[in-house]
Amino acid sequence: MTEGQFRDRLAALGLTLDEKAFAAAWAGAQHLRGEVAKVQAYLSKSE
Amino acid sequence: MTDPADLSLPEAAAALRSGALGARDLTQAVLDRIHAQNPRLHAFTHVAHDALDQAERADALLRQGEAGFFCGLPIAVKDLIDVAGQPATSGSRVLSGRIAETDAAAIARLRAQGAVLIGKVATYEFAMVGPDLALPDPPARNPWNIAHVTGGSSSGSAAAVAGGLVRLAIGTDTGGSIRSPAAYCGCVGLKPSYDRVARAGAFPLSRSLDHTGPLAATVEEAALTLDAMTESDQWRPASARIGQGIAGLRIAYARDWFADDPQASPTLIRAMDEAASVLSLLGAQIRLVSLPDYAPFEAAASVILHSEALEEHRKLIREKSGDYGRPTLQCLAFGAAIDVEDVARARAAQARLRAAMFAAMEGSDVVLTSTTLTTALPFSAFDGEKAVWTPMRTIAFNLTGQPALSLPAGFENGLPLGLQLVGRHGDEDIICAVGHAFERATDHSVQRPPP
Repeated sequence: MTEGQFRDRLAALGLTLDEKAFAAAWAGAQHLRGEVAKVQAYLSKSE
Repeated sequence: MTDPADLSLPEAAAALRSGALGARDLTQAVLDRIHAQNPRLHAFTHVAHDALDQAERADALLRQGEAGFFCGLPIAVKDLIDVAGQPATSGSRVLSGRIAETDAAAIARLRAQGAVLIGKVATYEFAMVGPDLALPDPPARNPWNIAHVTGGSSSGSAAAVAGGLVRLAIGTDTGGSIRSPAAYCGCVGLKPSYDRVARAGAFPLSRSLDHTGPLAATVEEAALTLDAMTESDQWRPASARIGQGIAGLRIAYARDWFADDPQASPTLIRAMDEAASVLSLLGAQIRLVSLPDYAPFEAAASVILHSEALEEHRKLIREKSGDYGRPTLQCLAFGAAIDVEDVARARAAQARLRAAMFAAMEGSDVVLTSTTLTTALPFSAFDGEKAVWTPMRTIAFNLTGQPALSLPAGFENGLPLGLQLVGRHGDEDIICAVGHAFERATDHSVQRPPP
């Protein structure tokens, strides 16, 4: 997911953040995408 | 003479039944304690205006001999859970001014016994992140050192119990929100099996991971409370085996789950090793086990939690996003990075992780591990914009739905450490028996914070 796509999703939710808050949210979103990757890796390994 | 506010729930219940103590006197003693300590600890956000009226009604029931165990016993409730007639804001401006019309299901069961619902205690906003110093209610403070946080999200529940304001508070746990503040503050926290306690009337964070349960001064008090909150009689009472001894119980010591993490201090590792030794001396069979890696549990739970949390708040965000605290809104925003397919994969992982955990527990009755990897952080650690996550070993059991108990196991630099006992689904009686035996064999749970 790109930063632009993430912005678009927040806008669709009606969730407006100032730039500082957006930066924190984007960092958290990237961390969460890392968690998604861990889930995928676990599923691949445990098959 | 013991201050009535310091009586355990069984002691107070016995005194109320014998007539040695009135519910009104007990409630007044607790109110006095709250008024003396709350300005320092900020545990309570609301004290019930009708607390003494509730107590007088309890006294009438006691005189008629119609009282349940909890009749006249004061209980605090996390402000995420509805108590009829009391504020119910989930610690947020978003719900400012909201008064609950009815009791949450678990609270109704306690009220039906005549419990005195003495007030609401602090929560991290919508049970998500904290502490947030910008919210109207100041965050609860750790009774052992008020420069440190309580952990959350049942922050006020833990501060109120550990600070001696009440013996019992009700909390919720989606990723460790009962057990971690209990560990950080030095009290007992019991997360029941999934679905044992009805969740209706508690603001959802993540419906498939949410649990409601007690924080209490002792394991016995937590177990008795859980029994009163339990929805149906399909469950064995959590208090059934209290005091029966633990000889022969098979305890799987998951040492590498915390000791292999560089964040775990030598003091914490030593405290857990000593706990294993104590349980061995009490006759339990201890064996080292390697549980499945913790990281996939945390990953799958995070995906599910953030996705479900955003779903719960979708409408409120549209209507009132400006009323949310900044860290909470940022945290909710994370969920926008998750797709439906991600959640489906996380649920598939949940099923496999649950099976792997049950397989690792094969031949064991209880898992012993630490609750958190550190003591409570100072407030100064939360000054920045970036979210601060404290390392815990709790969310795995929200994902598996197993019962888990945290209880005091020592100190590091004057701050409490907590051990965690985990059972198979429905085995609250076994983990409470082990916790109670440990409590009786050590002096960790009788330590009190400085006044």
